[in-house]
Amino acid sequence: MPLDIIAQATVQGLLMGAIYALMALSMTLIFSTCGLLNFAHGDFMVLAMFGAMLVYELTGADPYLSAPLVVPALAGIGALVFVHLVRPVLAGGALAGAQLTLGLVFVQQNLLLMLFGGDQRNVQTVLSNRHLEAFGIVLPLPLVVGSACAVVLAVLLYGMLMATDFGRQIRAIAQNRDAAALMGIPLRRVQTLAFALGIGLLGLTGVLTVAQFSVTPSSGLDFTLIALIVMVFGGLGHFIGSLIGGLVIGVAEGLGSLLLGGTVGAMIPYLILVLVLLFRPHGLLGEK
Amino acid sequence: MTGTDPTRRRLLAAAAVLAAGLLLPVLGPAGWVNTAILTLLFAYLCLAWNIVGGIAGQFCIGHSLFVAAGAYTSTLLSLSFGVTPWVGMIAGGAVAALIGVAIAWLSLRYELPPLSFALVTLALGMLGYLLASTLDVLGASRGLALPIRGTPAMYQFRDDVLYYYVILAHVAAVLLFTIAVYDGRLGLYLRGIRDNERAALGIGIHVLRYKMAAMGISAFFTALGGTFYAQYLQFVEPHTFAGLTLVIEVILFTVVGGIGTIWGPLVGPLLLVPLGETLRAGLGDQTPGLHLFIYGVLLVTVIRFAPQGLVGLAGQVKSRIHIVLERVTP
Amino acid sequence: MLDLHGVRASYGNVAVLQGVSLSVAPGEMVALVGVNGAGKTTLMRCISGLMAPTAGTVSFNGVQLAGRGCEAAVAAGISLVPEGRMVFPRMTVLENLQLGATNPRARARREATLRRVLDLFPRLHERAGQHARTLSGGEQQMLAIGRGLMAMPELLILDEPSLGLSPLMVQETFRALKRLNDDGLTMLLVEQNVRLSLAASTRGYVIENGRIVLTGSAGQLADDPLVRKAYLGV
Repeated sequence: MPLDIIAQATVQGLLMGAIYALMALSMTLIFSTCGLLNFAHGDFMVLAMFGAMLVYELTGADPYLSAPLVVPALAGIGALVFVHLVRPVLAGGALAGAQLTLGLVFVQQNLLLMLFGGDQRNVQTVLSNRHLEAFGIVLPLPLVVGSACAVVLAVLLYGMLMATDFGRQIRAIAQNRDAAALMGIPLRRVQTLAFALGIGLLGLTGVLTVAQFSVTPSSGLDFTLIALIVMVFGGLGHFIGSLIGGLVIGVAEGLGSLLLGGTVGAMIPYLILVLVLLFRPHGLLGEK
Repeated sequence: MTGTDPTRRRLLAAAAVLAAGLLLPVLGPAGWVNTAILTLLFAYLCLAWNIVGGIAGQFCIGHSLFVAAGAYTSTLLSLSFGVTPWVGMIAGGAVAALIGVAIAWLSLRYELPPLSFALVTLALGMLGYLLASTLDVLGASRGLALPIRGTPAMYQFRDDVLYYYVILAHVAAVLLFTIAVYDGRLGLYLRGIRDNERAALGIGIHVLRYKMAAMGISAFFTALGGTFYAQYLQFVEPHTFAGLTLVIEVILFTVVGGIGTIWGPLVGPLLLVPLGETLRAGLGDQTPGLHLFIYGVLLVTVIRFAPQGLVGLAGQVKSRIHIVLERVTP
Repeated sequence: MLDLHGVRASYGNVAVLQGVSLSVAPGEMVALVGVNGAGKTTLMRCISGLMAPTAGTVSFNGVQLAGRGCEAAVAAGISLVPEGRMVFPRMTVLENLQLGATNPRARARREATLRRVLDLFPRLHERAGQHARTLSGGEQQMLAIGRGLMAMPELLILDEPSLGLSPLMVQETFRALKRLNDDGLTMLLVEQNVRLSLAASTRGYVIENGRIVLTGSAGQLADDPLVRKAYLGV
């Protein structure tokens, strides 16, 4: 196998990995503050993607431009879902919350099915069908831009978590909820905001990658699983872990597909998840 | 009061339910049979899942593996060696039980926390789906078609009513098993493990062994359901049999009915499957997905407002009535 | 300042507190002693808002706090240094302290309070940039106390501050606590180490099986034959 093809797959895997990392980061944000494993995570992203497509179909505006509309809408939906559905159920335990999100998967997938039909959708943006060439590697421009934005967003998220009061409160809740409460941190308000932020971030990820993926209403669970695998691999709740995990999973999937075939490549992330959970459940960088 | 009293009451109730089931072909409305078969299939799968997911409290999302194990094993044996699926289903059950026990042993010997266990089973289920979609010996994405021979000896019936009786018998078997076991040692130990694992360990229960047993039993039953489904549809293909959708529906129906109870896995499908089919018949044609959407909304509503499921809700209503009666009667 | 009447609490069906009444007046250092399982920590959870009592009242400067949660308690002026310290392990000493000043009143004066706390605990100043989990037990205790002080409380409650500390660290810690009390900070001290807590306090309560069984000045309690036998091993 020629080296430049391997290099191509690796770089593409890295770029994809950055996007996976961002998906995992928003899931981590929600998991560490609210204690919720959100099976409907990917479906929110698909919702945003369909929103972007809808804006395009109605106004002809480039899907990227729909972000100012789609992202706040998604954050708002997230806040409402959290306050009225998730939080009351979470009082009965994390498993109950997970069950609710399974129900939400059902709702969202079929809502989109109703509104948009089941066909696979592709949408063109101003960047589609353009490529970036560097060092003999040809990369789709939407992927490069999406990936670069993912990195920027991750850095911004990191800055927020480290340097703002709100970010510190989030980290405090993630590390010791009782102690955080004792500080007078308004748990419910921070959790709601963190949830909305996570979903909004996810929406932004969706808008940025709408040209990269072709989506159907049922794609949500696939995205959820990828985010889950990255999150577990990197160590539950560990920021840098999710970043590294995303890159690793991205490259593993890309190279695996190249060297071993498409379906085996698709299996690799799940194999990684099983192996991690069985032999290193706290993930790469997490603590026991 | 001895433990046989509630068991006897439950057995009587089960007998009543099954008698009603037997009478349905006589009293039921026209065109009932296919909905009834689907309803009972889900009831069966929910009751089977409940053994490990509800009673033992091990939230397993990988049951698609067991459905597929049953369906593919019996079908392959039938296609390649002419083995009747009646025997093939036992083989399928054995395969599934082995897989189930292995999964339980691997993941629970290190005391994987419940959420992680759910994820491992989910990932394994996905792997099973991918394998089923790729391996040619399993028919890849097209699946396998069963030859239409129509002989009962080969587990095929011309008249759908016979399928109904078969699945009714399956439901009877797993329901009676659950009742018999619920207050016995197996049931008590499993529920003890579910409610307080540390305490169970403390009094000397071999927790891992019982979890493995629950998984194995649940897997075995589930696989038999897989074989039935294959024989009923007369084909096997990965999306229906190895995919996540079926498992998620089973879990949701059980949760709505009342996870961990005896009757919950029966009540859930009994109400929701006919409802779903009615919605689909009425609305499904104009807007695809509308019936499933309403379905999903109902599910979320029940989970949100009745986390103990419908059975739990009924229990609350019953105690409320008891309280009122106690106050009223002198 | 702090007034509890008939506080009851349970975990599920297990009743832990069976009607506790106590009070703390401004400027006092009051000790609450009792063995493991007597209900001390549960009582502290009720006062701090982590837990809601099933009956009884908790009032602080006239404000009713029972069942209103931590935010209300902290806003009213109560700060709990919990059992086991509960520092935020992957945050720096500085960040831990900053979080202590979450409530609006303290937030406004955070920088000034920070300077005072670091003066009080020079060792924390040295380790300001280190992650809390790298600190020794004694240093974590200082951090927890400092964090509690950052909330600018009128009442500082300490749950088992001596637990797991070397005798030297215990001495240092209690010296700091005495200084704070001398400067006017009201304190409620919950301790298994009866000798130590009675020595440091003016008044005390003895709790057993979820009930207050004895109360008096520190000296009275130290001389009480029951206390001496059960807790001081005399």
